[in-house]
Amino acid sequence: MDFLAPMFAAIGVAAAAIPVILHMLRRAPTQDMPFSVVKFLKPSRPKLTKRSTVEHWPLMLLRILALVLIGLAFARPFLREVVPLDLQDDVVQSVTILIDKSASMRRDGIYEKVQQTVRETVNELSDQDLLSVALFSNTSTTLLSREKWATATADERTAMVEGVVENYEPDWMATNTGAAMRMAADELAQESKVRRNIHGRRLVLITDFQRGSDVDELKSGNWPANVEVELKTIEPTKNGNVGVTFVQDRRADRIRVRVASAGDSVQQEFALQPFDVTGAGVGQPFRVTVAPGQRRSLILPAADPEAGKTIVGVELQGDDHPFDNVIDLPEVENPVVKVAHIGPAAINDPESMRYYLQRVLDGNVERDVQLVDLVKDGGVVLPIPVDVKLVVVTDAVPSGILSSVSEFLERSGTLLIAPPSADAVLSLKKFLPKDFNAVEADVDEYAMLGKIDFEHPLFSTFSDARFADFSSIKFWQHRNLVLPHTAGTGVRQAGGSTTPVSAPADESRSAIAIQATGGTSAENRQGNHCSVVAKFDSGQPAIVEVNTGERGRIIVFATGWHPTDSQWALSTRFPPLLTRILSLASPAQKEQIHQTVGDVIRPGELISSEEWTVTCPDGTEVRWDQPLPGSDEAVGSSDAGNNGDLSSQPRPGKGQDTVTLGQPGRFVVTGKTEDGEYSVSLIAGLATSESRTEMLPLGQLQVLGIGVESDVEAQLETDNRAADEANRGQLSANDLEHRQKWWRWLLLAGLGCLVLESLWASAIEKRQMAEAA
Amino acid sequence: MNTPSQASDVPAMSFMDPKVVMSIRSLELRAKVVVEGFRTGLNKSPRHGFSVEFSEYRQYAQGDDPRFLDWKLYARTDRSYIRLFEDETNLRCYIVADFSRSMSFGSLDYTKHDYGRTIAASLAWMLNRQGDAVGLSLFDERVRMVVPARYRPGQLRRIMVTLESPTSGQETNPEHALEHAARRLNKRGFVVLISDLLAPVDQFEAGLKLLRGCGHDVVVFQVLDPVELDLNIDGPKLFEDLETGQKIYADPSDAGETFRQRITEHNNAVQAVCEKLGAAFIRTVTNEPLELTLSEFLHARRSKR
Repeated sequence: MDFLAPMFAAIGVAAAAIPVILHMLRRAPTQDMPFSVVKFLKPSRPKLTKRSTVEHWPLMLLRILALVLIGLAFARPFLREVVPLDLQDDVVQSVTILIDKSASMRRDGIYEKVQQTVRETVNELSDQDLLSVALFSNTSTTLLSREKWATATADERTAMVEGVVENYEPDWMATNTGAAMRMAADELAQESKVRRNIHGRRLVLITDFQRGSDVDELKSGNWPANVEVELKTIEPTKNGNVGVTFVQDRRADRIRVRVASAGDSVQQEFALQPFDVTGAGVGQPFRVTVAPGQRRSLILPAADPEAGKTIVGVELQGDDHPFDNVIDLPEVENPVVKVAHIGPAAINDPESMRYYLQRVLDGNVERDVQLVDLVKDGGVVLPIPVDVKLVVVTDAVPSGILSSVSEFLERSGTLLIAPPSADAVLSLKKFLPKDFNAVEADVDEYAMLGKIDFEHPLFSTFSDARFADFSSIKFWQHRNLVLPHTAGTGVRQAGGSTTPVSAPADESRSAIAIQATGGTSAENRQGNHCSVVAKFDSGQPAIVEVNTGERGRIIVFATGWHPTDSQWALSTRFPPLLTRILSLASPAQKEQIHQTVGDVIRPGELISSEEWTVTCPDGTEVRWDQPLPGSDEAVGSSDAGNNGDLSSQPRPGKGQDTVTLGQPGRFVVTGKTEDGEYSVSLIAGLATSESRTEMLPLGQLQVLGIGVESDVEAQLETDNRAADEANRGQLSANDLEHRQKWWRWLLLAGLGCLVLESLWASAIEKRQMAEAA
Repeated sequence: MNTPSQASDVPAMSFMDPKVVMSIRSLELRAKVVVEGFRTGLNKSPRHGFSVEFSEYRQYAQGDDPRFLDWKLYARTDRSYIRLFEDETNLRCYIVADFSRSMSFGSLDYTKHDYGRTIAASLAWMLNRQGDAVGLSLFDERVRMVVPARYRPGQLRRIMVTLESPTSGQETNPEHALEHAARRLNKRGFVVLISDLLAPVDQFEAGLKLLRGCGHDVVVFQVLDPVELDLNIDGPKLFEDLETGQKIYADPSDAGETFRQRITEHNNAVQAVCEKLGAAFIRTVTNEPLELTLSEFLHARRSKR
């Protein structure tokens, strides 16, 4: 008989002497007794006794036996016997090949080596072995299951492996090696409960084992003891890597990027080349020196002031591995909105319309608004600047500026005409419909707004009944706007889709706003060239909207807001109305959100709309009502789904709800809201960890308590087996002991002895007590 | 001297086993059981007199003091009644009980402390029912707790609660306790000392002299455990003194003779001092019935009168 741990056998035999020694110990048979009159006692000489005879031989023998048996059990005894290995013909090996497809695997030379390594690994397997292949980056996907492998013929197996090898393509995700290994190991360990004849379980990990790999998952929980890991590391043709990432900066008008170099980099000199929306370089490249293992942050200008180009991205030059060298940057927009004014530049004249316009624009808390006078003193007229989206006309427009107005309208600009006289309207007649005319109206005392189209974007913010009362605004004089016969009107007298906003034509001439109840005024606006947004109580148009070009528009008021014409400028309705016109003319700048590849977004929440479209950097689009790629109803977007560029989660009954950002670059989420089309720009950058490409120490997995057989160790093991021919046909001591498992019976016998001893001693004690009583 | 063996004048009656009495948890109930059992058949009616505490009406008889006629009642009923009052007692009794740690020894199911305080509680209950003012003083090496001698509602309850106190102290000094009792009793009174009296005899003698010198009647109960008289213990033991913590290894088979001789000499000396100073001495062993001890007490009191 041999022992795996003979030390425990020796300890067990030595422990057998303990009961004997305890029994033979000399002792003074004394017992403490509290007493009240000790002073009257005469001390006696203590008597020591020594028990040289054993009172209960069976009890002592049981105690000795129990200690010896437990000691022997811990020594793991086994009998040497010849068990040839060919008895195990029916046992098979289960192998899982885990292939890294994260962004760092895009480095040069890795692709071919991965394919070669997979083929070699599969060739090492015997016909009985079971194989499973999975790819992983931040999540893992099983490409080939054991069930398929077990039922396939040899030719089918070859085809399946070739299919895996040929279709292998790295994605842009981060690496979560720990989670993938844990999942694969759990699957292997679980399999042992189902298949009894599996002898070995092996996890072959094919990866670049870069430092940015997340192995935290392996730190928690125990690794299954029967799953062995074989680590096959793949190295690129050239070591080292440098990556560039965007860094969020608190100041909106500058861009900060970080250049990080891997620890095994060789080069130190690099260049950062900004580029514009066309991909062309903007300005001179920035020279950057980064030592291996170091990183450096730089601040780039938002735009090239000379060329007027906006920087939308930056490329790192001088690195051998370009997968993390290009990033998109958020566009920095000018936060100042410019509004042009054509009319008298009377800044401090309370009788002029500009005076009130200036105060409304200055009170805008959301944006800085700059009012630019195009008509200077002395009759000098300036053209409309390119970055102006709203032009306010408060007087007759000089003929010299009409060409500039024309260009402005073609640029989707908004022209607001508040005419102090009919001439002011007529000076822009060339931009108005053919039969459009304006004449001075004959107002009896004053006029009021009678009907308003509250479905129109101009007045939609006033649609609530609390704000819909415009009856307090009195117009002393106004112009009659004569519309062409084809003009549509959102405000119809009767039987139309909207309800008159004035009170019934009672004699008191009070105007009470009434909300529109129909839904066809929008259709009217689209179908006609111009439409009436509001009317006076006399039925004459008060506000008219004229659409020009694709997106340009002219809003014509029939009156000015200065005190000579009306009380409008003094009304609380005036600032919100002008602000609304400004926001329609120049919508708030597009939101830009910086994300990491692999993040999951909810486009509907980003734009507050259920109908959205996500435009990917490669130009593909994902719509809200598009079924989940890969599902039975999938249409059109199968490429995106298979490449891992986009994956989405379905919304019950209504297509998908979330979108995973699967590639780096600029994603644009657009959707329809009440105010029109709205878009949010998302920039997805590579995970910073992917740029850390230096290899982790090979002993990292052993440190985490995982039995690893790396390539070198596997070779050494093979050599040892070849050298020791005598052991090839014989099970090892461990295996023999594992088969025989004598320790269980010894431990059981030892515990049995202890139980018997306890019962026996208890019986003896009871008997002695009974005798004493 | 009055010892249990000499209590021949006690009427033949069956006594309760002290083990049974001690098993009663409530000290007050325990005292009541002892005294009621002891007093069965004895005259227990208290005397009525003229005092402030009204007791009942009695029809006027010739010779009664007309001052105590209730004239209001006479006006209402046209009958003559006199008012009777609870008679105030002149006897003030102090029970001085030893609560030192030596009293916590007991070879039976209870200790000398349990036995001693049962005696104290029984005496207090009996005296209180007779209308006497009873007080209590607990001591070890000094006086720990004092309940002044009173006869008023709640007095008995206070005494019972005080008697629930555990043993304490590192030694026993009855001299201080007796001096304290002498100071508390302004007029002639009655002092009952309950202790094992294992302290040096001279200390005890000094206190007793002072009490007797003040004219107080003194009854001394020496409470001992049977083992303290004969050291009837099996096998050698490491004896540890309850008060001093001194440890002595002794084999009763060897040391028993000497021990019995010494304890007898000590007890004789204590008894001699009591006799010399005119104090009644009652030695009681904890395995003796409590009623017998009370009977000894009454016998001692009667002989004093």
